Amino acid sequence: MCCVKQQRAGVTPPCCLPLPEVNKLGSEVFMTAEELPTPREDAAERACSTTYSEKSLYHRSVLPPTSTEHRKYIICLWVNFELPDCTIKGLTNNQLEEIGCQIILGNTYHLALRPGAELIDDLGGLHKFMNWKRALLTDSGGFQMVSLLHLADITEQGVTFQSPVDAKPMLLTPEESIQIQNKIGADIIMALDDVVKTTITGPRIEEAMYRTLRWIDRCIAVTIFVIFHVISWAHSRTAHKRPDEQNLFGIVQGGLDPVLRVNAILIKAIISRDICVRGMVDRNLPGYAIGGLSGGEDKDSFWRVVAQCTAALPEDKPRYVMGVGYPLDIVVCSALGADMYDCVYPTRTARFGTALIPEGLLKLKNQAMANDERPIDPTCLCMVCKNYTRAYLHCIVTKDPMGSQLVSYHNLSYMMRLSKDLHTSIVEGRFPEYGDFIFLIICLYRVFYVCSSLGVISQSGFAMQWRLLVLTSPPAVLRNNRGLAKRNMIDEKLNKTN
Amino acid sequence: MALKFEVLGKFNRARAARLALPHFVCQTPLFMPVGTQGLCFRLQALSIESTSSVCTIKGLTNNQLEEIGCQIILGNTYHLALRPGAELIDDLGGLHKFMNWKRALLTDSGGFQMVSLLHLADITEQGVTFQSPVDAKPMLLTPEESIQIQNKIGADIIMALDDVVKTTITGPRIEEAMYRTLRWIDRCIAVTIFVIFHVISWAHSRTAHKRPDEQNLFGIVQGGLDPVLRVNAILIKAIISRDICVRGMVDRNLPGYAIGGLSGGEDKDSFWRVVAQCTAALPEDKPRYVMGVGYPLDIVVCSALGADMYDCVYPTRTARFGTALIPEGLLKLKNQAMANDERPIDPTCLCMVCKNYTRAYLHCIVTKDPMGSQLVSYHNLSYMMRLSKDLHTSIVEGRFPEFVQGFLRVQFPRGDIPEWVCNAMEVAGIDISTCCAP
Repeated sequence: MCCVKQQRAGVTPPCCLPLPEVNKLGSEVFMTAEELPTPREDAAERACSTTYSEKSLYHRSVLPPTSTEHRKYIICLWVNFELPDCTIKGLTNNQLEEIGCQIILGNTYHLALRPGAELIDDLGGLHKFMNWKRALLTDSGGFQMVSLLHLADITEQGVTFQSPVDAKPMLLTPEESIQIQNKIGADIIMALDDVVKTTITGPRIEEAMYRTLRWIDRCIAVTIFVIFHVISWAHSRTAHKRPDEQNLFGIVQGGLDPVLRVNAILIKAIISRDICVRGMVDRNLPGYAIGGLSGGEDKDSFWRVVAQCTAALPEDKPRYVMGVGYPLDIVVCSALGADMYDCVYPTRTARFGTALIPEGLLKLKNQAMANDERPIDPTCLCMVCKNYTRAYLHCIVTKDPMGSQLVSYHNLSYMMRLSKDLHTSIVEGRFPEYGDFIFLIICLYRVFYVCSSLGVISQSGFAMQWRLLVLTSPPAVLRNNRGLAKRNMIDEKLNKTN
Repeated sequence: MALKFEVLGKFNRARAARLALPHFVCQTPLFMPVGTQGLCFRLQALSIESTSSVCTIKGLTNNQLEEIGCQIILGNTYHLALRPGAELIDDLGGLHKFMNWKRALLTDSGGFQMVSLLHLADITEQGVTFQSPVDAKPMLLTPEESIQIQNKIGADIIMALDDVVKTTITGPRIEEAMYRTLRWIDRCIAVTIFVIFHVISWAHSRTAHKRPDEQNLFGIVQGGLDPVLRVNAILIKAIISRDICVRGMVDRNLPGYAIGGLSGGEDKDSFWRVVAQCTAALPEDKPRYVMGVGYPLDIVVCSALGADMYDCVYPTRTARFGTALIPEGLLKLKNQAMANDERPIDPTCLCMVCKNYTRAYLHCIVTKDPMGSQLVSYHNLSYMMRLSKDLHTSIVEGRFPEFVQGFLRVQFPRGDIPEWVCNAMEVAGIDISTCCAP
């Protein structure tokens, strides 16, 4: 984004201040939706910028410059998880824009299979191909390979797997993953990481973590970017070719922080993640993802890992918690300092007739819905809640594709509204109240359901503890202190071993 | 009568009209999308679980249907009665309110689905007996009950229960079906004095059509084909059957008339002749609805012969196979040539899909993602509504023959127009000699 545009708006942008001032303020400067440049203009402007606040994603809302007393929060963006072939559960681009989706995910593995990276490149990139005018994020393709394909194996070279097309052995290297993502052309691309199941313990965690760091280097590959696309063979020797148009995020791996486990394993896990965080930070990437979660680990470990990472990751770069999820999880992670999330949950649960509402979950298949003339959520302003009743939806969910389509529309609207509320409440300085309110509502009504389904220990024990921990401590103290404490402890350990 | 039909323009037999219904004012000629999966045309027995789409159209929201320009959509009485049930719909204020569709609705009688979907369905004088798909109990749908269900659903146009026979059947069954249809229409109409005060329910139960001031009961003309190639005796009998039926229907002074028994595999030559025969005999000042038609070409021909309303699953069903309707005919999006074609489906089309998506993108997702059939359905319905609008406007503006010629030239650039079209256009009084190859 450009200072000139900010001045037109009559707002003195912190990005025009000297860099130390920006960091001191800790605020992020964004543009109003009306002022947003087209991707091409923005890329040119951003090419010559250096600070993070200028290297922004495409669409964000304006925050007035905040005082030093305000906490340094970055906005929350809900990143939608896409179906393999660049569609989202029966929703058109217009509908996604109505809902307020800002970034949607493209699935590199599926896109590379169909229609293929070359074709997408020939047709001008994924944005043009699917005519999506907002932001796109592609993952590395590694996760699908490991989870979808049997006989997939991870070696130092990359991920070897059997091609689903002709069963030939194939290899996805970090370089190739990035090249495919370059061709697809998303705003944010993910490094290929060595993904391990969150429940795994032992030396595999460390191995995966170190390999992830070695692979991020291969993904970054060359720091000087090639401006002239004249000689194709020169191209083929570098990996990330579009650092001025695409943002490569590193993924922090490293295992859990399981409070209930033996201390030795505990420390090793903490150390793994910490090393990975520091490694990633050293490489000065545009943003960071926290990976290896949302795979069945207990909630207590989950939030501690998020807290550990957000404490250690730089303040001025976005933090993306992959695969999260449930509204409650998002509120908690936002309180702990995360910014971006993706999950299939809202659309997947819609297919089973479950709608997301402030009180928790509404099961539209339930017989009580059969003659309920209210909308899904009377407080919701989405197209579905303005036009359809619970009775009508009860009639069609799980019986007609339209059912899952309409409930998906609502659920995504709910998630976007949640993102927006989180953002606005932080900006307006009323996040604790908002968080309080959310927790109160959730705790009173349905968090029991959610928590019990997630295997959390108990509503009163877990949620209250979480709430107390997060909301009663000043976040800066919370994060910095906990981060510091951990860092001190780790340093001691390292010093001891040295 | 709860409709007003006003002819705004004519060309020989073709007419453009304004059809004012309780919920919406429509323009004819008019295509009506069908709100079901289109199982009407599958003649094998299917379990009820495989039917879907009670009152939805192929993944399109109400807003999208309005954008496309749909004016009337069809509800399927048989499916609605099963799920969610006529009582529930009535309690919730009728189908319009239930599905929040602000424009017009038409429901069929339910008879056709019963005959085509359910094995062991049988037609007797009483009604249609069938095995309930829910609990396999024997059930009976009478003309009275069909109308009562449709009263509860509350559509603007309701259809009489008719004795449907396959179009390819010959012999005395045709006559039997035709006379029974007439007897049944009487039972559907039942009472001419409408009950204003809904006080005593038992008095209600003794009448069938209770809402003649809010709903329009259409009669369906049955009676077999007019097969030119058959033996004269059968020919005359078939003509007579239909003619008797038409006159019977007309005598009952219904708000509108449907031409039934077509679109079941009969040859095109018989098809157009039956339509011509019926439109010649039906009154000018009432809408004529050709059920189950169809292909764009068929609609143009029938409009030239004097029909006004059409319904068919074809546009949405063919979309599921990745086929889009364009002025030139059909565009098969699954074809490999589409893989890198950056044009929209139809550069002349202004629909949301043609303005936002390329053939390459659609090629990628059709038959692989439900979104594919949804987007192509959107386009195909837009095409049908654009065709309806073009037919209406060209008649009103006095350039109908030019429109037909242009339509045929684009569809048949080599001039190989089928003979049945030429014959039908001759009867319709439209000169298409310039479009035919010498």
